[in-house]
Amino acid sequence: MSKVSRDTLYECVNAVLEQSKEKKRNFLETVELQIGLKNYDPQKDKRFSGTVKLKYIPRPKMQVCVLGDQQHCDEAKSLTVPCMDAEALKKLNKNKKLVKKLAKKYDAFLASESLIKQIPRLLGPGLNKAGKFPGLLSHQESMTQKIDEVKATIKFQMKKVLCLSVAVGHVDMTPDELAQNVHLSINFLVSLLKKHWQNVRSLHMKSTMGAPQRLY
Amino acid sequence: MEIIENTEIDKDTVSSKELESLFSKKYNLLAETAVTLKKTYINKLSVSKSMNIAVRLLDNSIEVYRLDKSSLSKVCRLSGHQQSLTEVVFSTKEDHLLYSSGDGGVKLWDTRTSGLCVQEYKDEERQPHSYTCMDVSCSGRVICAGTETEQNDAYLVFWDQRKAEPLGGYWNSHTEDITQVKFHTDKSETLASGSLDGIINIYNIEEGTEDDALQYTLNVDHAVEKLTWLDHCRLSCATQYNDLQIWDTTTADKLKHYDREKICRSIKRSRADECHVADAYLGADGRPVVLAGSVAGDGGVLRSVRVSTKSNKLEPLTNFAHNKQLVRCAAYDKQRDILVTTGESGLIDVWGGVTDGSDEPDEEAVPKKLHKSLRLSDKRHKPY
Repeated sequence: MSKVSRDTLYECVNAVLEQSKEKKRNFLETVELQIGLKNYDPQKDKRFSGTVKLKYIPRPKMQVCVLGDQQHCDEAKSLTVPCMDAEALKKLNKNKKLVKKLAKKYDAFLASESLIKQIPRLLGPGLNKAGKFPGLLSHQESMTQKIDEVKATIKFQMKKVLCLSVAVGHVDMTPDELAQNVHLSINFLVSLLKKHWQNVRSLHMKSTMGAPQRLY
Repeated sequence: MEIIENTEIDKDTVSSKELESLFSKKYNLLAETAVTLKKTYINKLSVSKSMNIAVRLLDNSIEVYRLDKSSLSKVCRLSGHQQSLTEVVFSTKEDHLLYSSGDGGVKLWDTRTSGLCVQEYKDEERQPHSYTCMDVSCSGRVICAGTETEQNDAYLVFWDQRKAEPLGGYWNSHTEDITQVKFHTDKSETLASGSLDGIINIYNIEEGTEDDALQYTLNVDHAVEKLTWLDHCRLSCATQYNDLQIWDTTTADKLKHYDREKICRSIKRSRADECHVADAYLGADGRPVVLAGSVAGDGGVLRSVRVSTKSNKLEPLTNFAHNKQLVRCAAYDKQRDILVTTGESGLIDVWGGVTDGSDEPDEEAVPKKLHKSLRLSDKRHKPY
């Protein structure tokens, strides 16, 4: 059974993009998917949460820093990816202000297996406090791929209220790119919900400064 | 590029005969009771060493039941709470029950005096915290409760069981609501905390400061739903994404990671997006067991699978065929090989393992044992 037709999807996507072109802002507007839920009681029903990798990066300006072992740091330098090794981290001397500054400088961190275990000892809970504890960077995968994955991944987190929103793109994307990201996001969200589409009350799309466009 | 609803029905991927032979460890339903006539969810459960069962009902009351051979009898009931009770835990002293609430209370109740609060644990001077979870150490001496985020801080507050004033707290290690706080099974100083931020922290609370106490931070990538200590070094984590991970807390290595798709296939169901993970525990043979099911229909499909020693597979273990509800909590007693489950139909189920040697389930015994309690519960949950 069709929930959102191809036409509706593209109409919505185009409306959002048009609106942002009409009134150009001096920053890159993010496009969000806003979801209204129903038939769900956050007090008693099991909460859901999940992350999905989108096809096109929604936040291109996202800065990722690698906390790497020798091999990863060499690779990072060759790719001009910001990196720090154990020595550089030790130099921060667990100074809360410096660790906080580091956490603020980047949007996300990746760390080699040997280093990730030492983080509490090297830095204390500073990265935890900033909500930026590193993800694992293994030697089995390509660094560029992993970084792109981090940049393209969005998180759905159910909280105490019946609505949530996620960034699914930006206004410089083509309608196709945005539509594909939205398509993936909605299907993923529905897979997380216990009663799937029976839990979805409404879906809207909007750019940061634009008006919401109803999708469902 | 239409967005289409998946209307395929979730079903078993093998025949019922194969199901019977694959899931070879049998469990009989020893006892079952419905806690009320009205529909209620039981999302909080604690089972003491002598098999007293405490459950929290949706109306914020707590009931304690005792298991006698094959029936459950109510020991007492504590009610009259305005705010939501968030966690219920038996202390090491058999008659002591602890609970935390959303309005800043952590209280100790003696189940023998039926309603008398023995001790109340206070916060520090400021606004009372909204406690989401708590636990008591294996020695019974230290209580720890986790909070929701308040202005970007999530707290872990500690008390000495004998005193009302808190010992202190941690507030630098999580950025979102703390969902689970679990003390180690035999080391009083080791504590694990899990949060919506996708992080598990392992602490040694004997250290003087939070910075020194934080031993390891494990990134599980998804919001933590349930933490269970399997043994002295292994911790299992069921996430809100319905995957299950097992970590070694002494080396910070991820030992196992089973995603939703894999768990669904191992319990022989077809739709991964209907699969849910209830919990994990250490089985009688020392191997971790994952309890999972399907949310389809009444949510009654409940099966367990066992971690394989040689591969990354999950081997079929038990099909809880008589289960009727979506199970949200489980407690396993290794010594007695008894599993207690509770869930969204307000039923408390006690399952007893059938010892190996008998290939056929004991047809004579099962109906007799069930008969007594089935009659009672039939009356009770027919309304819905």
